[in-house]
This record gives sequence, structure tokens and C-alpha cells, in this order.
Amino acid sequence: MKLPRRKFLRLAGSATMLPAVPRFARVQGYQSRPVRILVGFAAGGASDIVARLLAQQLSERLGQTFIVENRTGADTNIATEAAVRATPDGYTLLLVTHTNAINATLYASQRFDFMRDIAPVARIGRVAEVMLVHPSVPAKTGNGSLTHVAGALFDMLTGTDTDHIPYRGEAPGVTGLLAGEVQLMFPSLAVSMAHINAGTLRPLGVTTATGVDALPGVPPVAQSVPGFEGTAWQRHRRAQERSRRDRR
Amino acid sequence: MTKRVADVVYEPVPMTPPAFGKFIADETEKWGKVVPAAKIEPV
Repeated sequence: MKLPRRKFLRLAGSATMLPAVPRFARVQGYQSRPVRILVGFAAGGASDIVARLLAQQLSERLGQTFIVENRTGADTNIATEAAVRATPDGYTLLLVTHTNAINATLYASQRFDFMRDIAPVARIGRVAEVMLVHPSVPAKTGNGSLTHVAGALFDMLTGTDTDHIPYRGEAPGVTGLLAGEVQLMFPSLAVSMAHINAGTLRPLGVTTATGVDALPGVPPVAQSVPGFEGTAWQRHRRAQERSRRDRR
Repeated sequence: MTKRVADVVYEPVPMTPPAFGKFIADETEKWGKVVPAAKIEPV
């Protein structure tokens, strides 16, 4: 089985964040100008929404402006490189996700070293993804529906070989699922909760190791597939001090 | 949409910067094993 990158990246999970920059506020003179939060995903997606929530809270809390800047492309590598190239003065933050960790293996020749060039600021949190099917799919639980599951990790752990139908993002993918173009998807709760509540999509399991409060009664996929856990995470990192000479 | 995300998907996971750094290293190692196992071609 050959698995497209986007499918794999999407399956890796989703996440959340908490305002966690109080130490910046203690630095005299900090925030004399707006702070950029670089996001490698398009506006409207889960990561973007979380970043905007964070920016709003930080702006209110610190009385300064935090601006979300979407720098899409190359599986978030464009945003990451922009952060790496930025002056390491605390005015450029990067919303980091599971994608950054995956890219370290997927991209053999990046022009930066993520672990070396970006310094951690704070972990924000996580968000479960959910295994969803169109109501027309007979499956009622994760058990027995393994052959319908699209996901690298899931396929790897279960031995299944499912087909991947690429979409331009989570939201279009959910639209495709609603239309019956695809039978199964692992979107984040952020973009799927309304459809679950409306009964237009059926959750089979969540990708966290344990159940989530938002979906009582929906078991973790790991209950049927031991070892399966695909939560995504988001955090902030800032550019690491580093000489221009060292930058490739 | 924003309210829904805030209400539904937030699961704060506090972590210090050093622990965060280790977490990322662990995640990189974890997915680094899955990528070749799933025969995903590196770019």
C-alpha cells in the first residue's frame, strides 16, 4: 500500500491551545508592536480557529495585538521556515502541530532543523479526531468496519488497505462524506461536531486513547484496535536564536 | 464556529517548555516509524 502524505498527516490528529505567554509580558519593552502567530493551515480549519482564539485571548490579556498569519503550503513547512527565518525577538510565534513532527521524516531535505531552530514556548492542548461514517454505511460501531477505514495508522495496525480520496481540506472532506463521495473519514471534532449532533454523520470512535466528554458513549478506536491513538496537538514555538551563518 | 470549537474541542494539556521539547522528540520518533511502515514516500 502506498499512502499519500496528506492522508497520513490528516490522520495524525488534531489539537488545542491555552494562553501561555505571561513571561513575555514581564519583559520590559516587549510588545511595542504586534506579535505574529504563524499558522501553516488555511483559515477556517481547526488549527486556524484555535490560533485565533488564542490571539484574541492574548490580546485581551496583554493589551497588545496578536495577529494570526496563515502561511499555507508544503504541509506547514512554509510557515515553519518563515518562523525560522524571522528575527528571534519574540514577535513571531509559530503554531506547532503534529505535522511538524511528521515532516521531520517525510521531508528529507528541509532547509531548517525543526528541533534545533524553533524553541518551545508552551504546550496548548489537544483535540480528538473522530472516525465518522455517512449514515448510509451500515457500520454502527468500530467493530466490523475495519475494511472501510481510511487511515495509515489504522491500516497499519489492522492490516487493512483502504483507498484514499484526497480533498483540499477537512471541511471539503466532510462535505464529501455528507454527499456520500467517501464512506469514512477522520476529521477533527471542530469541523464535525455539528454534523454529529444533527445526525447527518455517525461517529464510530474517537482517536484519543480514552473517550471524550463531548461524545459520551462513543468509544475510542483503541478499544477495537489496540495501540491506535491519533490525537493532534498544537503548541507555540518561537524562532531560536541562531546566527545567519548557521542558517542554511 | 468559534464558540463551538471552544466549547467542544479544547482539552488543555499544560506542559513546561522542556517537557514540551521531549514530547515533540517522542512524537517525531513515533511518526517516524509509521511513515516507512505505511510506505509513505518521503518528499
